[in-house]
Amino acid sequence: MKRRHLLAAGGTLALAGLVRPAHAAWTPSRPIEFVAHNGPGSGPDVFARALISAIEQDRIFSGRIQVANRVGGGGATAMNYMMERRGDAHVVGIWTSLWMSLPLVQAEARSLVTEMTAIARVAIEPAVIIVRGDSPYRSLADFVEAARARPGQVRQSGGSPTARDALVRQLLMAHTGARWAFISFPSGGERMSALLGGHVDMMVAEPAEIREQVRAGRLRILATATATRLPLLPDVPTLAEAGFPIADVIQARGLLAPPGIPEEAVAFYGDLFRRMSEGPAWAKYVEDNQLQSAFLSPADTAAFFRSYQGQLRDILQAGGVRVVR
Amino acid sequence: MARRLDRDVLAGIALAGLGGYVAWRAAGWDLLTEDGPGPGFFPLGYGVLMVALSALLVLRTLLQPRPDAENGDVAGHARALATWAAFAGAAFAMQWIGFVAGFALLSAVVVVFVFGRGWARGAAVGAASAGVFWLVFERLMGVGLPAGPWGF
Amino acid sequence: METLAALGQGFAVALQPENLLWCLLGCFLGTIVGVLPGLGPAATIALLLPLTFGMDPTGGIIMLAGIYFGAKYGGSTTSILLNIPGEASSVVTCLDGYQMARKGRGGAALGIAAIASFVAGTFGIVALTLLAPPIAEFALSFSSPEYFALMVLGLSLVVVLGGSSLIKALLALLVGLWLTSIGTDLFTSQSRFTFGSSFLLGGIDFMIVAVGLFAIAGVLESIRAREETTALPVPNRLRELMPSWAELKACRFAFLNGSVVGFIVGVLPGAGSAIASFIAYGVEKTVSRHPEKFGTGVPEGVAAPEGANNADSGGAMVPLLTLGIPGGGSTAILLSALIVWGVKPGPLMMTESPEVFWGLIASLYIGSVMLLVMNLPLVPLFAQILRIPVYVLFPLIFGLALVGAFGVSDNPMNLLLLAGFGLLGYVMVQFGFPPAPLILGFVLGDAMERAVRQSLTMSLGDPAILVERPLSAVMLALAALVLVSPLIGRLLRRRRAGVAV
Repeated sequence: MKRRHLLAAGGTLALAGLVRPAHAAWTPSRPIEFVAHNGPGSGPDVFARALISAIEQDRIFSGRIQVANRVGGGGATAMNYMMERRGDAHVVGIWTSLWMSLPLVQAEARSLVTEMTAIARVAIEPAVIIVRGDSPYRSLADFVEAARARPGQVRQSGGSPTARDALVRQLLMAHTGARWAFISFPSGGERMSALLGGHVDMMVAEPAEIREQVRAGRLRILATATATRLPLLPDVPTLAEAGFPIADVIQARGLLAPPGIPEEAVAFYGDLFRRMSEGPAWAKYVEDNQLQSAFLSPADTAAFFRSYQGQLRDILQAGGVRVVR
Repeated sequence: MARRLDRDVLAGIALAGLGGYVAWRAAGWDLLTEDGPGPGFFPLGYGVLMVALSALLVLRTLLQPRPDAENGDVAGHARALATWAAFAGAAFAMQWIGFVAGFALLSAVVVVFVFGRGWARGAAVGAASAGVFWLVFERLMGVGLPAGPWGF
Repeated sequence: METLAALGQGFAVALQPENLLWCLLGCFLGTIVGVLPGLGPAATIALLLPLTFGMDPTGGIIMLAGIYFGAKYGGSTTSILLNIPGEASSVVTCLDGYQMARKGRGGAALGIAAIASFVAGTFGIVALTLLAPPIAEFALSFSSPEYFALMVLGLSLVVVLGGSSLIKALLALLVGLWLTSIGTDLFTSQSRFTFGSSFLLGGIDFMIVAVGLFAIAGVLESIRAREETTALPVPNRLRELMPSWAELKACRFAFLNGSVVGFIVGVLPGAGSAIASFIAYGVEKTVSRHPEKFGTGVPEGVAAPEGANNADSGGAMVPLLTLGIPGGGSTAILLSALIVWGVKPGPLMMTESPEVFWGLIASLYIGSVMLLVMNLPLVPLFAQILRIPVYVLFPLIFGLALVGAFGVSDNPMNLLLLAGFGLLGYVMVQFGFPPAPLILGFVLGDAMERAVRQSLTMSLGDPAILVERPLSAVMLALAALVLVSPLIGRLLRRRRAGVAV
């Protein structure tokens, strides 16, 4: 089998300052492989490399870590690979919310995160609800009112029906009884162009991708789709504060291992990522990209998988998406 | 049958079959939903059009029979298809024997059997080209090629 | 004036010897890695990006500009010499480029590709310099109905791309349209034609289809026909390794056509450079006085798509720098790289940090020149590849195709698909079906279906939205014109022949 990918080696980590976790009886005997479900330069790939760089900068672990891009099946190839590596503690998958939604709607995607070994949740990607800078909607209530007045004629641009933006829409529609159209675009750039061009009225976006447009007055933030206000946007109300107390749809990222790896290895990784998430390099990455650091221990991450999958299933079913599991 | 089946007729029948399959599968999905055309709408159209155009192709060929210019280059086809089989086989075997061994074998087979250049040259070309590929892509550029049980 | 002064300052920085060196290095690495099939520009940039992180921001950005151009350029080399499309936008280059190589004009084809890339690439940057803000607003006015019309215009080119039989070309197009619908439906998450395989949920990678249909099938057909038994002809004299004056003159319109089409399509966030190269080739063939010669190795058939591919680079920078919107994979990576440097592309960049904005544009100019300076001398060298005896060259093509497939994904399924498309391509040739329309359908089908479904959701199901907007109406009319163009051409020729008699 292939061990390396293009320049994938995260670089041999500096040997100096090696800190051995006190209680971990297990240590890697060969390079660790971080599995990203998309190609070089894609979201999961960039995130995997950022993790390696944070681990390296803060000298959390001195062994070699490499990124392996296991591309295909819209993420299913990487998930299948994790299942196939049963018992191999040197393989670590970079999971995103997609890893939970994919098997729910695709009969062909048979690998479930709940059957793999949870290691950690490390980050939550917050979301904000935005409209054009010259939009008549000054608050989310204005938008919902307009949608109620003209059903189907008010539009939101978004991605696939299982992505977070679609779920937030389902929850908001169920809560308010208003209905508005959801136009799917494959890339974030196209979604944003449709909004800026005035072809749609609203969009759920990540704060990092809209920062400059908001500063220039071309976009306006109506609310944050988070449980608490964002430190960088102290004046923007949360959904609940804006009068829409819907469930918080979390988009998270973290790590997992194949099923059946030793307890000690789980403890090793749990400890590794906990210390990483407390370090300054990680803090800087999180701030630069406007993420929320949200470490969960292996046991809590496993519980998160179960509860998240349950929540996802309920929202999708309520929104009329066919759920296969 | 008196007349050998024309190639266009064969192609038409095959494509009509494919079109029928595509249309049949697509008809099972949502065609029109309240949010516009569903996932079955376009494939159904492609499938139906495929059937229609294939029928046209077959009819046109049957109505204006033209002499089939190709007199069945059996040896040529055999050569090409054998090359293809070697390619597919080597590609498939690479997950176990690795890229280098698979590619060396493939090159040697092409040199020896397709071009009839003899075993010595086949072995030389196979070893040299696999070596160069390994050096350039695995060593220099770090493309992860599958490795065999012997490490490359 | 202000623009010129700011640009001048940008040049002053970018022209420092050290920065020139970084630019050269970037162009070189970008071209070399970009030559690999399976590694498109986006992956090339992503892989080389870490090299720039240790540098100071100015040098880093300049090197990045070089990598960006080099990566876009690199794909044409294997298309022309080996019939292996290096990336999606180089598929069309195979049609005439490889035929030129087989006629002993491989060096000329490479030279024309380099010159077309330079001319159109520079045109794209000039347009970016002068027109970025208004052009960006134009791009935003493009909505789903306009994208639909653009895709229909692209698909209408099937009548010029197809060979002798229109029915067969249309059937090949339909197969391409079907193949591209394999995978997960974006709108409903319905999986289509996956045959129960989780691998197919993400669809089939374009490179696998193109390399199978062109490179593998081409080798098999050559082996069947025993066309070449020794080596392809390569002229000995240096002058014959370069494009002749007559060839360059034949490409005059192609340079312009590629520049304009590539830039306009490049500006649109929902259309990739593959679409630009297809449309440029189609336009070239439609207006040509000898359309029947396309596909047999005419220089315009190389110049138009290669030009479009590189003018696209400048076009794609427009929404990136003025709106902060990445139009595709390559620009998305550029965006993340610029953010690492502390540069924030967006509506305010031009006013808040003009020195970075103009410095970046100046380095794009230099990258474009550098690419030409670096690649023209390499042309005679690359052309020597064709001296390799065929019995070695063909296995090399197989090997490169396999490496390319591994570059896409390491899943063995991809290799089987590659072999499958190789066989399909061979069978298609035997049965007289042209492969180019299949690729056309594969590239455009998905985008067209999406545009229709987006439009109809917007209009609550009223199909009039597709035709009533002025821009889309114009493009649809153009598509209709393209569809009847062969008829008109035939009529004109008949009349001319009649007069002659």
